[in-house]
Amino acid sequence: MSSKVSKETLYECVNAMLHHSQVKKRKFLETVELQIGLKNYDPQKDKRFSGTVKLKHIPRPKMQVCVLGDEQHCDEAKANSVPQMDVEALKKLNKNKKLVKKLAKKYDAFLASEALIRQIPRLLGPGLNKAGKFPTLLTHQESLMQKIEEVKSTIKFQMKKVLCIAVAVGHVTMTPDELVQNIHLAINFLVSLLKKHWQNVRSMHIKSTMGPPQRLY
Amino acid sequence: MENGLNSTNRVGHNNDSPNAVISQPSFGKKPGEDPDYQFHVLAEEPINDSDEYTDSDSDSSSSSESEGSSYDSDDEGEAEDGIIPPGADFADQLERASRGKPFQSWVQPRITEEIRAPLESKDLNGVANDTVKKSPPPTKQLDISDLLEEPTSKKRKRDDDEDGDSCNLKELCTTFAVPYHVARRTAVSTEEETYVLHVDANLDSPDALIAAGLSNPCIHVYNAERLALIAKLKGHSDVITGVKFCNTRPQVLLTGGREGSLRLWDLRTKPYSCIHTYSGNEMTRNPGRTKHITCFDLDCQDRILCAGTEQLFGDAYLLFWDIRSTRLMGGYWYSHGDDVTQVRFHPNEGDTLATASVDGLLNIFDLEQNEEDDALMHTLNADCSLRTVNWYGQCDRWGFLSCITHNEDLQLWNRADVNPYASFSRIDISTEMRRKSSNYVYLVDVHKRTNDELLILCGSSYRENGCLRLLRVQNNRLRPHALLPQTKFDTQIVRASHLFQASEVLLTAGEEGIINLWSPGDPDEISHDSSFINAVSPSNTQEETGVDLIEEYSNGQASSPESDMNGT
Repeated sequence: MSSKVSKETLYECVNAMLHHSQVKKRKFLETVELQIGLKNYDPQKDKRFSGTVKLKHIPRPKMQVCVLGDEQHCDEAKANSVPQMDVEALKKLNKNKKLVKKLAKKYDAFLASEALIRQIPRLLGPGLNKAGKFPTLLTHQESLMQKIEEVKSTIKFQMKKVLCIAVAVGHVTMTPDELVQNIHLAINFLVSLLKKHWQNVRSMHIKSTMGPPQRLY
Repeated sequence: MENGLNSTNRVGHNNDSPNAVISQPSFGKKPGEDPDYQFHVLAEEPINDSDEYTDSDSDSSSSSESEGSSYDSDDEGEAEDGIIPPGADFADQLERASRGKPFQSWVQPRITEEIRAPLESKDLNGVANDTVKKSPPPTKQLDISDLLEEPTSKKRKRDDDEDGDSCNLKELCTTFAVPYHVARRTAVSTEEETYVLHVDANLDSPDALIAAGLSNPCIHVYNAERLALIAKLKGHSDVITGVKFCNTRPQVLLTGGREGSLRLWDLRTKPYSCIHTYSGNEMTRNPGRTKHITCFDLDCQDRILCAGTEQLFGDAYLLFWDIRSTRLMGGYWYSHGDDVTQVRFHPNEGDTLATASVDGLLNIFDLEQNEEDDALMHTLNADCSLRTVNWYGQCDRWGFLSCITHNEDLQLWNRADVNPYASFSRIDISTEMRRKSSNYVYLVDVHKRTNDELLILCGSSYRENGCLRLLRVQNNRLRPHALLPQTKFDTQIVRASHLFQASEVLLTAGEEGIINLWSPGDPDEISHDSSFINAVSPSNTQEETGVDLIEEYSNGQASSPESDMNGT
């Protein structure tokens, strides 16, 4: 889909942003965000602008995923040094709300095997639901690492009360090409979900966590 | 490569009279059954040569999809009982305007030999008679397309921003076999920017009613047969978030407003009054704080009312009231991490509730249990923010759920499963809709037919060339079902719909404030004497065999819709 943001502009802004992040290095890995300001949109009446977008390159490499697996998946996880828990470990939590909340806080996302995912409401109660971290299904058909990659590349976005939305699209140690690809994908996907497409976009910026915003549109 | 219509077949801008000249087949007879039907049409219709339409030879949807439809001018907005509905003036204007407009032809199809010939030929796999029987509906579709507006611009600036049909018109009309057309139309107001967000209908006598919830906090009640406005219910102070007729007492209407209250209206005697207001502010958790209600539902026995709310300080509530005693029974707030977008009670099991939320989870509760933790039976992770959820059944087993995500995908679940048994992405849907681009596709709702198949209402919001279509889920596959041709006056983004089971009449309403009743089958059969909403749809029984035959034909011809789409 053609974009109102040309590749040149994208590269320019990405490079400018990366330059800034190099100039003043921070002690943490800065995330790059795509910020879209909306217009001609009534959040009460118009359809909600929300969903998930799958990016090509992992935007948040430090994301922690925990596997709640059956034997096979747990072995696979151990082999790949991915944190895991099996049924017994979950039973030990004894549906204690505080412990489940702690578990939810510890990891960014969960994957669960088929047998286990059915029992989550019984084993853990609604704690993971509330935290927004209910596990994604992990089947035996796909490789564990692949699924983890997928989960890490999928970003949720949602427009709340303000007419503005921010999506994490990368981090400052990615190459400009990777960043441009991610941003291009995100822009096209998000705009395609808007009612009037580009007529609903007032402005677009990319920004690293501590750097100045770079205007794209 | 088959072309679309030749220039001789196009209805031009010189119409004789807006009124159909076709003799009407007797009501109740299916088009194919009346052996004289086709000949009536042929005999009485003059063949019109039009010079104005220039047919393009390319298959890539040169003809625009902004459709016209035959319009029953008699039925719109007239009030036989003397009540002049506010919509009537608008309808009259519509009618007058449409008669004057050169490109809005109200004349019935002008069918020429050339279109007829291929479909009437006897060498269609030896099923000539049946196919001929089925041909009137497709040909009518074709001719409804004759009433289309001229394509707005042939110049395509940038290909990938555009949308249109991916196959030619004739193919389109054959693939979407059921000939829906607008039978009734009304508009809620002449003000700009009033959306109709919710509709519900009941068919029980004495009066079949339709209720429409608007974005200005008002509810309109219509007589369903005539789509005549009966009353406006005012009382809510924020956008209406749902309307529902009670299951056991169809004269009682429940409405919800975003301001956090639900109202019960008695529609038996005028003036319609609000019997009771349910409010969520009495909750012990965060009392006095407005919990904005986003959705609600009523259980099948009309005992419990459940409403879902937006997130307030990290809690997204499910509030429960006892309808009769109006007591707030309590709420759940642990099971969702974000705004609840839809709650639906199971159609038969009074205590089973499904809820969908922006957090991507579908929760299934058994309300007989005391605590929320025990009541949560299943959590289905759709992995994407959900907009709607609906129960449906197959062979009388009602444990299935359909949900639409905010990414415009559709997922079908069995409630005891861990992943959807069928899942259709926006791209799948746009492919089956025969559209070029999936960037404009949106889903409205999923309806169940009497034969357990699902009908999916979907459309394209492309301004110049949008559409509204029905797809069918049959054997876990998506199939094209019907075109809903929108005239210039109907074009809008549809937000709410309702399917009348027996007649398969579809009620749609949307962002331009226009409410339409679409009827399948022959437009001539609609008269304002008959109750078309209650009639059993001819397509209900006939349609399945028809589709199979058409598919057989297309498969036998080794030109499946998919391959044709790529531009033969």
